[in-house]
Amino acid sequence: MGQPVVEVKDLVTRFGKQIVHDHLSLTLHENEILGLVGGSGSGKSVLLRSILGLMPVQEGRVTIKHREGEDDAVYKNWGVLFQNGALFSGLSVLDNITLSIRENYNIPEDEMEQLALKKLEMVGLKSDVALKKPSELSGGMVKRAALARALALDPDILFLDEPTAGLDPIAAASFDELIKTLRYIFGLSVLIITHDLDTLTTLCDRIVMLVDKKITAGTLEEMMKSDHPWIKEYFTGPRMRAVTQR
Amino acid sequence: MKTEFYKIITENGLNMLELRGDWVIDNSARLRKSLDTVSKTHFGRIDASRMGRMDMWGALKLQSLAKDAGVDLSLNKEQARTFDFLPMNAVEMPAPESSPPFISVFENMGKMASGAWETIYGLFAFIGEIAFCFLRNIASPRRFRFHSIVRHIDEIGLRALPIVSLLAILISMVISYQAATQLQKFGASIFTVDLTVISILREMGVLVTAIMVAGRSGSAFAAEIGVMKLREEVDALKTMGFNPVEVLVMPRMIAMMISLPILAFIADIMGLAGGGLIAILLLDIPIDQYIDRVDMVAKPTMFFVGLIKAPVFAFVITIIGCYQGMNVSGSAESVGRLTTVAVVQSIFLVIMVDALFSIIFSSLGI
Repeated sequence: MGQPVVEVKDLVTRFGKQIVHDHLSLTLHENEILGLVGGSGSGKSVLLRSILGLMPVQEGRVTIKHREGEDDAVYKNWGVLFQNGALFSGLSVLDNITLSIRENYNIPEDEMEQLALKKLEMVGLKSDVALKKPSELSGGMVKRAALARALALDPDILFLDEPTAGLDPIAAASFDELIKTLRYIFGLSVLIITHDLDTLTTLCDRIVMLVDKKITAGTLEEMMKSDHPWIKEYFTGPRMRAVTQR
Repeated sequence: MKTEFYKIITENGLNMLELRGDWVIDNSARLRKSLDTVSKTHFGRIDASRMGRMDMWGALKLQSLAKDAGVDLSLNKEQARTFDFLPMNAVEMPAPESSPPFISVFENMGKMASGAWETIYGLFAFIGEIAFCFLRNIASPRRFRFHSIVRHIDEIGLRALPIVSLLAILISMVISYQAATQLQKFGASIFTVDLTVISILREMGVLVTAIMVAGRSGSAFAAEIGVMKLREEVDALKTMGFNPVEVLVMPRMIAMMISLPILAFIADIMGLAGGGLIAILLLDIPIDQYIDRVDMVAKPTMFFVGLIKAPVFAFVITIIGCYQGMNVSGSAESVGRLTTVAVVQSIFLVIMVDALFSIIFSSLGI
């Protein structure tokens, strides 16, 4: 296993009296695809927001490679795909992708355009969507365009919040394949929040499960052997059986 | 720190470009500068295998370099993998749809004209729908949703009370003050009261209220309904068998019809109080004399001429706000745009209707 790129240590999150995370720890290693799962309302998204710094860490520590020091290196080195894409509705798809390139580098316009169009092609979108507004795209296209935006600066770390939710099985499978290829080519480290059991079994190297306000981590085989009743139910339920029997 | 990005090696009389350093977007400025010089030299081959890191931008740059020079490129295994994966043909930028400038001027004019026509048509259709809904509901008054009406009265009327009152006082003070400074020259200070009373009761009280409410609630209607439209809540209502006009527009309409006249009435009173304040403080008119003068000047017709406009303004503001809200589609951007349109149109129409009323009243001799 490579170096840790994201490390969460003893994170505690409370909303009033309600405790969401109780001394939770999690590590994402270099070149690893980590699947984060857990029941609805178990605090997966809150955990992601804490890692991304969108929520103050109340107790514990979150370390991310490139975030030491004061400069903005971290913003160039991570890409985030939000659940609903979060494409800027006022900008065309092309401008959504070039936004951070334009902000950080002084590159001629045509070069930037080519770069953005390549990213689009890479995520499997045709160049004719480039000038469209996000509202004119279908759900799957929004996800892909948002991935292209997340990859705009060739980040090392990728955070994906339910990337395959709402996609048809073919699109979801090709999305998984794309993430796999990107990891292989660019050596990405990926943290995926997902409910998609196919993604979990085919794509993820390791699985971390948020249960009882803590993390249980392991490979798929290890998780399936777990004695914890909830984890057991998760990995031996009818849906999971259907996936693993294939 | 100076990094070299290439080195020219001469081999059997042939120049070879050996690439070094990191070809990543972070180095883009320096890399581009140094490539400017290399394009002037002639070379027969590019060797990239000893290069440092390369990202997608670097790959594109490298590819265009090789292509421009028309020479071979040797890559190491890792780079070859990246190049295999990346679609290396140049991608055509889709041409934006546009007409020549001369034609597009007319095109835009035509679009605006047809847009205006569409708005007018849509507004009348919307009014018809509301009227139809109202008539149908009269048969079964329970469908008027009193709960919702009360909530909207609270929002439109009660919560606007402080700001409307303050505004009315300020406006009437401004009018009185301006009139006083002019009329004092003629020694006709007492007519300041006449002027203030007439302008507040006939025009300013209700107009200021309507403009304030259009800005406050007209925009809120457009935004609330717009967001509901965007989040498919309106569609959800339809599939559950509700009529969106009945559920969303009707309560707002009735609440507005009730609230605006009351607000205008309070604005009238506050306006008279503001005028009184100036009269007492600035003109040294005793309060009982001010009240006598107001009593003499203000006639019931004057008061009703002002207040009769309030329901009409209420109607205009609600129709425009709800219509624009219902027209939202696509993105959050359109909520913002149509909310602005709603406020601009409703204030414009309020003032225009006010002007129409003035013409009608003067021709009737009221």
